Amino acid sequence: MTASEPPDVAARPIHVTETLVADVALGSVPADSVADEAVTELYATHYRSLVRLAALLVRDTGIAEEVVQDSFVAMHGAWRRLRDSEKALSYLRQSVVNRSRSVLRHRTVVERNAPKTAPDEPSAEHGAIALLERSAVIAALRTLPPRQREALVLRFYADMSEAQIADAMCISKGAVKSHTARAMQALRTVLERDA
Amino acid sequence: MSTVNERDVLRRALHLADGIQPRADGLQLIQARLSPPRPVAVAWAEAAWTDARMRGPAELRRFLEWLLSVARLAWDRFGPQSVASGGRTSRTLSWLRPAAALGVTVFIVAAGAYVAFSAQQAIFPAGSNSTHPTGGGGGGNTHGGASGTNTRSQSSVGSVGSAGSKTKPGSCVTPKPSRGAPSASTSSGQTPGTSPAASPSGSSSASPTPTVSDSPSPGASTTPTAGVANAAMAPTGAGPTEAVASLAKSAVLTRISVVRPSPTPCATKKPARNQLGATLHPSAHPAVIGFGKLNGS
Repeated sequence: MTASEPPDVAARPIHVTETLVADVALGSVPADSVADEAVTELYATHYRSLVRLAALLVRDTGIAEEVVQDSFVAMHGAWRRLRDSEKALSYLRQSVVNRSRSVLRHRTVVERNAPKTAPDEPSAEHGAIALLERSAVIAALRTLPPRQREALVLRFYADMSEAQIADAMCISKGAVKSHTARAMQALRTVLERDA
Repeated sequence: MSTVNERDVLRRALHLADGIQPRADGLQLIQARLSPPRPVAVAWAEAAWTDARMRGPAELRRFLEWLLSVARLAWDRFGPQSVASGGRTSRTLSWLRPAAALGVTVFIVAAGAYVAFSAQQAIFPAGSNSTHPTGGGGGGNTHGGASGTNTRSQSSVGSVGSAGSKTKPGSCVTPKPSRGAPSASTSSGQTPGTSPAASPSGSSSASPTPTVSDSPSPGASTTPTAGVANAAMAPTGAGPTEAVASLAKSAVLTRISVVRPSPTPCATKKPARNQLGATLHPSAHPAVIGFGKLNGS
């Protein structure tokens, strides 16, 4: 919103989701219909970035898509508790991070108990992941603890503030600062050792 | 490596993930997961339908397909509305419409069955089902209803003798023998001068005293009256019209048919023989006897 806009226009909600929420407040639109519209709107604007964020955390595009879709479904079910699009997006990020943790936890258990199988041929869809895996920085990032890795990804890929990271990781700002600083130190150490 | 360079290197490495392109059907998958799941009954019905379609013949398959299309149309018309259009309250209330449709259907079927049963009872009463020639089951219809048995019995009696409309056919009604006055029972509201012989049938309805007619005594007691009437009509030559003559003939026929003992409920041991010479066999029909006598006279 710019300052040149007239005051009456500035007073109105400018986001589609905000408009739908305003309609819900007025009682003109059913809540489920608003949630469907919000899902559609958030999908169009944030689905890809959320999938990439999840792919950085779980290292698998398919699983990342499932994680993000689960988050959208959860957000649709919790839409009555959400008031605006910012909270919905924050809810989505937090849900993606939590579900990525669950995936990694489950994967750890599976890899510990399941027999090792031959790796499949990388497909064209996995080209970006393969390119990502070839990066020394990303390889060093894999060596970090999960919380430090999450803090770095949210900070330097999603460009989130400390408050937003704290909200997404369900930790305090001080913990975010601590995780980020320790992660940078560990990453530096790993890269200097490999070099 | 300085701190700024470290951050730039890390940011560039992380943005390599921008090459990841998710599939385009993500929104459809999300919407499919947001749609309500199918009820278990619907899933079972679909499984049964698939099984029946694979096992049944072609005709049954086509019939089931037609039945399924009709059911689908009915569900689209009367089924609950979409859940996405309302909240929990409307989700509950959305079943009111199919429930109302089901209730109306049950009411229509019940009303139709009741009307059909009532119409069947009105058209085909319970007493009309008897086909016994003597009207053994027609005791409930004393007015000579539309049943075949009663109509036939009345046609033989009532059509010939006009006063016999109240005759209970096959009830083996014989005029009670009044020895003192054999024709005393002939005045049951009839004009003596015009149709004196029509009284036996009238008396039979007036005093239905079913007796086992082992002896032809009633015929003996009533036949003279007819003979007198017939003789009184014919030889006087007072110019009776044809109607009176036919009435006299019918009186004879009526008497014969009424006096004849009924075969089945009151089986006679031996055939009776009236005064005019007509043999009243128990198995003979009154009409046959009457016409036989008419031809003979």
